[in-house]
Amino acid sequence: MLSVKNLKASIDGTEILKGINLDVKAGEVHAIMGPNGSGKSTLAQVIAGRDTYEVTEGSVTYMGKDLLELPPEERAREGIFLAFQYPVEIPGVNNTYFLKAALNAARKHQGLEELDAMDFLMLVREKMKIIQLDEELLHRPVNAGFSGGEKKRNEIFQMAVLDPKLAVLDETDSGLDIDALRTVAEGVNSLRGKDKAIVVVTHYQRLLEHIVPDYVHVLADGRVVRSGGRELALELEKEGYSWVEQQTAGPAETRG
Amino acid sequence: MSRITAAPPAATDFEALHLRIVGEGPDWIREFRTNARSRFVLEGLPHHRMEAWRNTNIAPIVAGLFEPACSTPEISGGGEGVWTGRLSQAPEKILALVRNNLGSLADAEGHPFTALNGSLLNEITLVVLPEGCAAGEPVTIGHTAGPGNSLNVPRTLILAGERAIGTIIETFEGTETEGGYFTSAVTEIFCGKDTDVKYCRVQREAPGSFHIGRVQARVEQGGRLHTAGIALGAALDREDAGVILAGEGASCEMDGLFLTDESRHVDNRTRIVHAVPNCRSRQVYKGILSDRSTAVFVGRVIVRPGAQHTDADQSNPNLLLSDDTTVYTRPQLEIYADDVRCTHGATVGQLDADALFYLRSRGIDPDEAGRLLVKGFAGEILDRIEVPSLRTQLESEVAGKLPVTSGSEG
Amino acid sequence: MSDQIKLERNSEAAEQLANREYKYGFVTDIEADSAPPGLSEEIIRFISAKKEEPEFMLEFRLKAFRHWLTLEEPDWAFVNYPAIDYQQIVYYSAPKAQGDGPQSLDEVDPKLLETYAKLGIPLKEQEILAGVVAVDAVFDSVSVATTFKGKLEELGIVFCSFSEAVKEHPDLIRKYLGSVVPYTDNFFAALNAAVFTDGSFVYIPKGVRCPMELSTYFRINAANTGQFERTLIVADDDAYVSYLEGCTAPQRDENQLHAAVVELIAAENSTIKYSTVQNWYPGDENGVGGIYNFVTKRGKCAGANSKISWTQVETGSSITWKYPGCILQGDNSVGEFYSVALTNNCQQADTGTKMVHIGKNTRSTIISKGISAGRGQNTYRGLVKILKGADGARNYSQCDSMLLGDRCGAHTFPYLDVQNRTATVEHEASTSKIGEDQIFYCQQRGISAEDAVSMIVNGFCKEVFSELPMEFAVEAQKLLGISLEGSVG
Repeated sequence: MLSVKNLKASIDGTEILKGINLDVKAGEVHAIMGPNGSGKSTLAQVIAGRDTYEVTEGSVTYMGKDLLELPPEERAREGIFLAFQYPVEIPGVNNTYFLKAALNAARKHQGLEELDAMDFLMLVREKMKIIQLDEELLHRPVNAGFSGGEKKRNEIFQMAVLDPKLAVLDETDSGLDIDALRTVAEGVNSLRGKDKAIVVVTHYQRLLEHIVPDYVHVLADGRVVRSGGRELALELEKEGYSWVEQQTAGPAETRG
Repeated sequence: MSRITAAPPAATDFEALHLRIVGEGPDWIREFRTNARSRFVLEGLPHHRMEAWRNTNIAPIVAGLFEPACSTPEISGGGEGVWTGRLSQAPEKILALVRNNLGSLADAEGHPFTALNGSLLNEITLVVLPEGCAAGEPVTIGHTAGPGNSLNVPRTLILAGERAIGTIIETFEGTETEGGYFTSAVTEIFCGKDTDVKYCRVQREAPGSFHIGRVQARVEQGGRLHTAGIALGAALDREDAGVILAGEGASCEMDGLFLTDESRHVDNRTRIVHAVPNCRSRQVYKGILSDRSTAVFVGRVIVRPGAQHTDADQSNPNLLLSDDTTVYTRPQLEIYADDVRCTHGATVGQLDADALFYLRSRGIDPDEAGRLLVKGFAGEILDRIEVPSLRTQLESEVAGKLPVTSGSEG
Repeated sequence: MSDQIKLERNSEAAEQLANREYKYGFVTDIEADSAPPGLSEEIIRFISAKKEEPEFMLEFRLKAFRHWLTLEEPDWAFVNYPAIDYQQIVYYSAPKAQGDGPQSLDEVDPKLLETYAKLGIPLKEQEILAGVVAVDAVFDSVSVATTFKGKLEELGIVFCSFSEAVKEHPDLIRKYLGSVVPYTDNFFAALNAAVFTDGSFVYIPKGVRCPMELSTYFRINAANTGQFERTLIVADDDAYVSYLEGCTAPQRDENQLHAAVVELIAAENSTIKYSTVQNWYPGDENGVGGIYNFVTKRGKCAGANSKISWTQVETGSSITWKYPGCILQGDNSVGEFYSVALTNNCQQADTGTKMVHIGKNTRSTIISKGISAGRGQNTYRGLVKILKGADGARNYSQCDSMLLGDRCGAHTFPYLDVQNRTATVEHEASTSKIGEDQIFYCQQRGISAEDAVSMIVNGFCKEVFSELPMEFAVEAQKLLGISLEGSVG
């Protein structure tokens, strides 16, 4: 589904990603872990098409398409969803209205009929149950005045409504207490499917207790330094990232 | 001095006054006066149909008969490394600075009274904070106006070199006389790179006098300027305060407090220009009006094209304590850059009824409760004056001027 | 072809011109279709005669003209334009005969048609807007208009053109004309009073609630109200009316100068709601050819508990100069001003309101949203005046600006004059931009950058749009999107 090859990206001339390789197939859940500054969030943003990062080398293929050629909205309409680490506040724009515009943009792109207000509302109701979102949040402007936890839930709620093929969750666990974490994780799990894939970007192992990954990749200094099964996450938890950093001090590994 | 009886009612011929001192001083001063005089003739005396003078009637000044007086500023303080003094005392090195900078900030275009000041220039108060200097104590400049019917033109030049730190207090006063006197003052402040300058201006002119003041400052990269303008006296007071934030990272804070009573009139104008990116400005001008007094506040923040990441706040709260006061407030933003944060606001109102009631319910009598609240209102400005002796003195002056009836009608 | 208004006006010269006999020896010819360019007493007599006006109207016009001669064109607004030569303007021309304009939509500027299509304007209406057919030609034949008129007549509501009202209801006109905006008010109001050719008149009798939104759009014989339009709306005791002016479709006009006057009078317990969507031709990307819109609009809350509410969406014109205001004379009366002003390319707008509090416990609310894009300059200028007797008066003003791009300007100039200590006056303003992160967030959800901007701008204007009648609000939203096209990098 997603194939990242030797991806290098920089911001203002500073290289952040230094040759990332990653293969994600339908039905899989991948976790990307790493210390602060290792390039995890950059990778997520580059996949979503943020133009503040300049891709200097490598390729990203998604469902057979050259992803780097597409503007961010096209990627979204093709089924890529990024749950933001810091969801953006958009004052004045109603949450429901926003979501309807997003959903219909995607449906139109896919040649489906746009949902009318009634059908949309029914869909929203259904998805709200999954994520236990306070209905009141629907009527507020997008993320404006939301608490940290509400913002993260709102992201997963949007994910539920937009039903992406590939979801990238960028530090979705940060700032959540244990109950909220469980709700969010349950929401994500309910959206898993054999034709879908999820990439979970996280600093800590705790989210992975709830969203169990098939593969774990460890990022350090812009490269994937280790890849393995879920046990790798546990190993990391025990050893800490300093262990990874020691490894990167040695000759750079290029394999994913 | 003889009057020509056929002429219209006696008034000062401001344009001709400079002739009295035309030959005095060195060449450059004479040239400065002549240029200022030409500018004054070009500008003419303002009138209320001009936007900048719409709410301030200077007819009493125009009708007055004034005689130019010599400025005799008292200058003290500063401490080691700081050069203060009058022009007449300045060594050549300082004189060169004066010649290069005098009038370069306080442009007289559109400011007829700055031109008038220049055309009659006779003494200059100088404060020079050399590079890296940290003034050990505040510099105090005291201007005392001449006798009745005098026209006073105090002029001050403050130069702060790179990284200099200092506090300057400038006061204006005079004795009450029949006919009143007129002071037209100009102060220029140059704040170099990474300076930290505090300037406090106290106007406590005699009742019945006229005060027209101008302060113009420029702050270079990383420099900080804090100004406080406290207006307590004069029958008519007009203050124009301008700051140009000329280097990145420069900031200015401007505080103002004006108390008006009887039929006094105070007009405050501020103009802050954000000329470059990443500067910050904050203005708080507070007015307390009683009796039949009027106050004007016109504050403008200008964000020039390209001055991104400007951060500017401006506010003008006013407290009206009697039925016959009038306040005109115009907080203005003029913005030509898109990535900025600018806010402004103005409020006009009376004492908060809930707060008054709260105090009274705690056993405080109404007058005292009112005074407390007004003091608190003024306190926000006075608390920021970092010279303890001055702050204490101003606090008691302000308290003494507060009307007693404020709370009793609550 | 559009005449460029020629430069230079000098009131002295105008006075000379007006005081001597018209240079070209123009003789009033009542049969003529139009007056020669220029302004003189003779021209005004000609206009009045052409319109078969009673004597009091001619007198009103002449007084206004004589006063106008003593005035200087105002220069305090934050706008720049070449001086207007008032002697080059044609002040009267008979309604356009069919066949003068374009013959079919094929002859109309395709850009204009494209915009109509985006707004979803029916073909028939497109033809009217583009000047292919006259309004009356359509509406006379449409039964809805006649039914509409009949229904209003049953209720005693008068809704007709100004000219008709002068003939049919001279007493009402005589009583109210100039009672809110006297001809002495300002330069443009004086000019309008001297030369206005037509406009609308509305009278809602006591206790009547007008059952539908009245709109210039539905007004029969609306054709050629011209560049000097005059509207007068009177709501008697306990009456209610909502009036809509303009439409969202871009309107072209060969007259570059527009100086309209609107007067509203609200008697005891009555309410007048006046909504405007102004979308006159803004000129091209370089500002060439746009309309100069200098409008004086004012309402008087004459009776106790009356209310006047202005809502405006200003997206057109190269220059907008207007300050719809309220004189709050009746005790407990309420004035409201909700405004969205958008300037793109080279447009300049200096707009706001005047709230004059005279009565006790009068209240006013001002919500202004200015959007600047391209090289547009957008100024809010508003006066809140609390007079001495206005005990307990309250005002709240909120002026927000949004800047799109770094070549535009947003300016806020409130004037608060307070003479009563029991008054509470508050003004707040803020400036914002659309963040790149906001646009990216929307894009990541599948929404294009252009749609994202339009969505955020509409959100910014929400408080104003919610004051518009439903259909108008929907159209206004679309309009903003279209007006902003090309302003996002």
